[in-house]
Amino acid sequence: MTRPPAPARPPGGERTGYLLIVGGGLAAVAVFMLATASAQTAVFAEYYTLLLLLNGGVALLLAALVGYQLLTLRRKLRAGVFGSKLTLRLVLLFALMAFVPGAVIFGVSVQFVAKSIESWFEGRLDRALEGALNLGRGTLDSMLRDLTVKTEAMARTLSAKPPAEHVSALDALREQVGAQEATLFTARGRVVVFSSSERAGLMPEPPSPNALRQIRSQQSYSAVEASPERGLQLRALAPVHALTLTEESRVLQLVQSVPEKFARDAEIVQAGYREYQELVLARRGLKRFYEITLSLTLLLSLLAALALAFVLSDRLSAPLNVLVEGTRAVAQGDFSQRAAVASSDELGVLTQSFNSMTLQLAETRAEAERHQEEVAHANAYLESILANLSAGVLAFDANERLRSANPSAALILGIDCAPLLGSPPRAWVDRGSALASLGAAIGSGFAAADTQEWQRQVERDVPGGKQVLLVRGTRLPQGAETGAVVVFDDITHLLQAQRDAAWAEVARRLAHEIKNPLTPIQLSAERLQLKLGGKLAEPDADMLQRSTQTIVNQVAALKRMVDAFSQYARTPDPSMRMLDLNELVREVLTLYESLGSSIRLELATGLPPVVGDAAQLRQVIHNLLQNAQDALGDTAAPAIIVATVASGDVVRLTVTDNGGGFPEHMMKRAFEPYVTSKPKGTGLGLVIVKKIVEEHGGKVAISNVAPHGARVAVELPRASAQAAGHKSAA
Amino acid sequence: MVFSMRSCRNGSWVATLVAVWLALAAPAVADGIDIKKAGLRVIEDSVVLEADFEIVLNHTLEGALNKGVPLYFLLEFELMRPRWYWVNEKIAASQQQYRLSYNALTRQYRIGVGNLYQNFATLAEALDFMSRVRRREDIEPGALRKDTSYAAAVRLRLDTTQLPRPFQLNTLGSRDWNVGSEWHRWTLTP
Repeated sequence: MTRPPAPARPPGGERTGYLLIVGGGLAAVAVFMLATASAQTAVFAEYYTLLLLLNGGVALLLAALVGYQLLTLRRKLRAGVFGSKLTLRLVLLFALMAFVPGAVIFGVSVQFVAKSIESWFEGRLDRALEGALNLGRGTLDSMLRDLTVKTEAMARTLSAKPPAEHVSALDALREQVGAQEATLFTARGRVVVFSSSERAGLMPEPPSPNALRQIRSQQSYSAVEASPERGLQLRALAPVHALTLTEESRVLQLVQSVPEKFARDAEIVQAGYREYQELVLARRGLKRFYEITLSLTLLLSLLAALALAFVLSDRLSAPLNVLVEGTRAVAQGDFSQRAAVASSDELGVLTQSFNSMTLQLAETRAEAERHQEEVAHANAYLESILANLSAGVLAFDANERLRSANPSAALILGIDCAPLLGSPPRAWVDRGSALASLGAAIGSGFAAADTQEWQRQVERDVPGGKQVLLVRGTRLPQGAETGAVVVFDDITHLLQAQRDAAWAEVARRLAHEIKNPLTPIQLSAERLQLKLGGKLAEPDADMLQRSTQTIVNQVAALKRMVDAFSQYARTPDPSMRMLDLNELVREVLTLYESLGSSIRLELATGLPPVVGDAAQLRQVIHNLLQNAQDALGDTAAPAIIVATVASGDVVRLTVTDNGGGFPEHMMKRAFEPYVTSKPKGTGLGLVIVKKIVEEHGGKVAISNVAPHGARVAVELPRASAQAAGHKSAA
Repeated sequence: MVFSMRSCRNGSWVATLVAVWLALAAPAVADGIDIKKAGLRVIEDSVVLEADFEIVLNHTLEGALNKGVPLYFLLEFELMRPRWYWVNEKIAASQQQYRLSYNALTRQYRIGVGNLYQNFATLAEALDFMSRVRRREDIEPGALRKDTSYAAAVRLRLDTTQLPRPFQLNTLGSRDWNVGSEWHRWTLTP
């Protein structure tokens, strides 16, 4: 069980998520502050422009984020990343879901704000305030007119009096008209007389230069004045004409405070009017203000929703990516566990199911592999047994076509078995005579034995002789695998050994049984000669003489033959030592000097020594020369060539004659006892040669030479190589 | 315009053209704030700024004023000593705020400078008052040296930041509300 890897989330998504959190937080704060500013809180109102910029900045940030996400998505779409199409669709859905309600609310809000702002400024309120203001103005005007009338009346009264009386008359007159303050100025504005009620100040209010100018041009002046200290007050000026030209004309000023309650009300009306007018003038700005706030809020929330949509879509499609990766890995044979999506919904269940599936797959595959390994192991074991089996094994299928052969089969048959695979044994005839007999034997074996086991001996020709195979065949029992198996062994050497042993025994017994009566026969014949030779007449005596002589000669011949037999049967243990083959040849040839020049020597110089028994090897050379001499018989120009040559690891001795050569029928059986082409041969010469040579680890081969003649070649291993061969033989 | 209509009826070509020219030329008397002249008078240790402006309020501003919205004007003055090797040295800098308002009840205009105020019966009078600046600038004694060039700059502009908040949105990007003279600069050598 592998440890599940850490949850794989795209690093880009992580980063975007953090950015989104930051951006969303900023947007929320910015929108909140903007909304608060819209409520005209003093502190925020101060920084309204800054807030607008801040919101714009956040909007830009979010827009950049969304742009980045869009680019990323586009790149993924181009690259065909699995799940990106789903992400796109989810993003579009989310965006639609965010946009439609947002747009509806936005539209309604803007309409609502515009309508309600407009509705504030209905004409009635406008007119009402205007009316109230006009009312105030009218009242003030009438009060002012009243004061002006009074002032003019008072001025006329004063004009009728000499200036000296003005001072005394003023107080009374002021009381009479009920003014608060009455002052008499000179035309230049110097106070002449000042009279006031208790409520007024102690000092007269000087008229403005403007007013004095107006008075000097013989006009009356009246105005409502507002000052922070005194509130609203009415001021009226009228010229007091002089009675005589010498006198200076004067100016009468009456000042009357507006009643406090009226002043307050008027001020309230005025303030209300001003604020209302401010609002009327500012309504465009107000509407724009709300629109901007709403638009920014919409923009920010839309962008935030869009960015959120990207992140959510990524998160939603992430499990799919995990599954896709898992599927690809499984397809490539990687059964490692995928990160389970930690969610309790269907996607989490899906990934968990996927993981359990891969786990089961992995277990199944491991099981199968183990099984396969076991089978392979068993196969290898069988294979090794078959390969190391010395017997050749051929396996056939149900249709008797060769399925397999072990290496020993190829070794024994001396061929490559691969081309034979798939062909029935009867068809092997075409493959050459070497296989024909085997194929025929196997084919007929199976045909004859049906389901039984069968056994046959097969002889086949091989280069340099004959090979005997013991072939056993059996059909496999009916089961999963039908077919047949053939096992064969090369028993050539076994047969040879058996035959050799049998002949040795026969020879020993024959020698024993024949030798025993020979001596009495010879003695009897000599005794007959001795006793009767002198007693018989000349012709009879001659006949006796010849007959006994014949008997003696034949007995001697028989004895020689029996000796040869016993020699064959009882070869003494060889005494091995280093020998020069050339030396031996020369030694033996001295016995054949009678043959004279018919023997030719072709001895190689520097011949490597061989290890062997000198007496036995001498016997070999002797036998070969004897055979050659016998073969020459009455050949016209007899010639025997004795040659030695070193060839690789062996030393070869060949004896070639130009006699009749081996008859064809003898070629195969020349090394069997009592097989001879000579009238008087025992048929043991070559047998003994072969026996000795093989005991020395060598080989003998016979062949005919053109135009006529025979050649026997003896190969003996060189001294060093032979020593090794001897050791292995032991 | 009325004049031009009448001209058309008379069929006088030349008169029509002249009338059109007049109608087009009339707005050429630009509203806004222009500086006519400015100077500094050094009287003993004090410096008096004397500047004459020409202030013509456009319809928007006048309408707002007559509806009771107070307008704030800002007079800015700077006196620098140019230094070739470093940023200019500031000798004096001052700001003066004028508050121009209209009392709908008394139908009077008022200009307030700090705590002082003055009433005017007509707008023209009030603007006249504001146009003539005679102001004593606070300068450290001995800061002005003889035979040295000083750079003086003055301007008068409408201070929209003092307007009621919704108005500031009205004023954003609006030519009607961005009223003010350019910096008027001159060199002074006491």
